[in-house]
Parts: sequence; C-alpha cells; structure tokens
Amino acid sequence: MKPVQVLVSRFDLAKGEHEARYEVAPGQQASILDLLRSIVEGNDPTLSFRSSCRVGMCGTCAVVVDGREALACQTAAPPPGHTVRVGPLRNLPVIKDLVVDPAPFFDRYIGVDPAGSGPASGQPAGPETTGDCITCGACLSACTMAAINKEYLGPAALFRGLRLVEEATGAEAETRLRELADGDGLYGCRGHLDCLSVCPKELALPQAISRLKRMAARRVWGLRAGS
Amino acid sequence: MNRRSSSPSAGSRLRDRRPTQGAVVWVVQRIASVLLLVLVPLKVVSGWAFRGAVPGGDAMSAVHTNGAMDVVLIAAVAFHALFGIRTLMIDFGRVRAAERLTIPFAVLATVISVWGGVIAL
Repeated sequence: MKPVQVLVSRFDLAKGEHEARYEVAPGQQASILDLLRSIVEGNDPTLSFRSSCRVGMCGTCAVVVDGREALACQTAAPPPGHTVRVGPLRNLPVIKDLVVDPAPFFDRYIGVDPAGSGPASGQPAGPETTGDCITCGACLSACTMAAINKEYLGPAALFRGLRLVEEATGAEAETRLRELADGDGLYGCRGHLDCLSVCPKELALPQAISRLKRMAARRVWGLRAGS
Repeated sequence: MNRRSSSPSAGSRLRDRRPTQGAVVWVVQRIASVLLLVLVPLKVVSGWAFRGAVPGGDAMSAVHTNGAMDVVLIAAVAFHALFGIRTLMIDFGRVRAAERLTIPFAVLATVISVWGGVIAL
C-alpha cells in the first residue's frame, strides 16, 4: 500500500517555521489525528499537537487541513498515495507546530460576558442558537475579518452573545445587546460567510450574527428588541 | 514506517490566508462603490455639458459619450447592486441562499457588463 504524504507546518522558537514532509502508512478508516499520532509514534516524537476526546466533542484537535479548518479526529485521512497538508489554526499565535495559544479566542468568548453571570446554558430561543459551541476556534481561524480587525468579537463569541441576550430579560437584555454592538464587536462582521461551513457542530453562526445585527438595529431605531 | 524530510520556511504557506469568496465579494463591492462615487456625478455633469446647460465644451461632451466609461459604469452598477442584494439577504438571515447565489450573481454581473461593452464599444 502506498503511504500518505503528510505535509505538516512545523514551528518552534529556535528553528522558526518550516514544512516537514512525512510518509505514513494509513490504517483503515484513519483520521488526520491517526496520521499525526503515527508520525509521533514513528520517527518524529518532537511533533506537537493537541488532542483529547477523539470523538469530536472537545474541539481540542482543531487544525487547518488542506486550507480548511477541521477537527483532526473527525477528518478522514486521504487515500494511499495522496498528499495532505496540515497546519495550525489561523488568527491565533503558534506556540509549537500545531499547538496554538487559544487566549485571543477565549478573551473574545469570555468578553461577551465580562460580569461572569455564567455560561449560556439555557434552551435556545430560535434556530440561530440551536446547538452547543465546543470552543474549538475553527470559526475564528476561518474568519477573514478577525484577521484584520482585532476589535471584532468573532463568530463563536457572538453566538454565545446572542444566547445570553436571548436568556436575559428587560434592561439586562438591552445592556448585553448594547455592549455587543459597541464599536466593531458585532459590526466588524462584513458578511464574508467564512464561518458558514467550518463549524464542526454545524452551528448557524452567520445566521446568529445577522440576528444580533437586526436586534441591535431595532434598538437603535427605537423598536422593540426581538427577531 | 514514517520518513521525514524538511523544506525550510515553507511552513508559512499554511498560515497564509487566501482570499475567500466572501472577501472577494466584499472588496469588489467596495471598489464598485468608489467607481460609482466618481463616475455617476461625472456622467451627470458631462450630460449637462453635452446639452449646454453647464460650461465644459467638447471635452466634457467627449467624456459623456465615451463608451469605455459607460462599460465601467454599467459593470460598477451591476456588481455593486447584485452583491448588495447578497448582503441584504445575509442581513435578513437568508444566509444559505446568499451563499448559493454568490456565483450566479457574479456571472450575471459579468454578463451585464459584457452586454454593456458590446453595445457601448
């Protein structure tokens, strides 16, 4: 069986960036994560990447596979003889190889609820907030505007923000909406739809952002906040 | 068995961001808006000059009847309007439809521009 060619973006502070090529004999129904594990268990134990649950629940193993964000554990390895390119998430600082510092993502994610009133865990009020974010960071990595505009909160944080607005009532809902719409936090989104199809949980991220924009616009024009 | 080889500094390619479809639409619509800002007033004022309502003479009249300017104006209107409809659809939550219509809108705007070119040039 022909091996799979795996091109992995490597980085460390001492050596800088380079691309390493590995040949891996894939097992049946192998995932990208299996390929990475094979590399580490083979002749290069220095390759760094994160993984945890292996079933797509935790979001830890999010990487860029052939230019597209994906969970390594849920992405099938290419057929024997083919090549796959694996890199770290974008818009986040690389610590080593495929390991990124998620702080900019979580700063945004937590930033929509700075008072710490708790996670948005109630029942979704509409189709835009159905499902639960696993905070993998794929949407922020895919977002062109997040790369350009550091004030922009990003899809996952705004998804959480909408859930928090939906759960709040009266003045609290108004306050949350105002804080989200302040500056470029919400309106930094220019409708590129980069986040539309990268979410491993298929959350309706652009729809949630559009709904937040409509709610904020209604508030500006003195109409009731709602869908 | 795993084998390894390296190519220095090639890894940066992975983190380089290629323009996404949405980013291209965004840039094209903004370029078209700047073109409209310049060309629409120019077309109107040169039209007045063409009719003798304002001074400008032959130079402004030539601008008004310039076929190339017409083509650029038609293209700017077509791309700006159709991509604007896409943006409105996103704003009103019709995200999937907007995504599906991006390429058809671009093709339609191109067809309109080419048709304008055939007529004007």
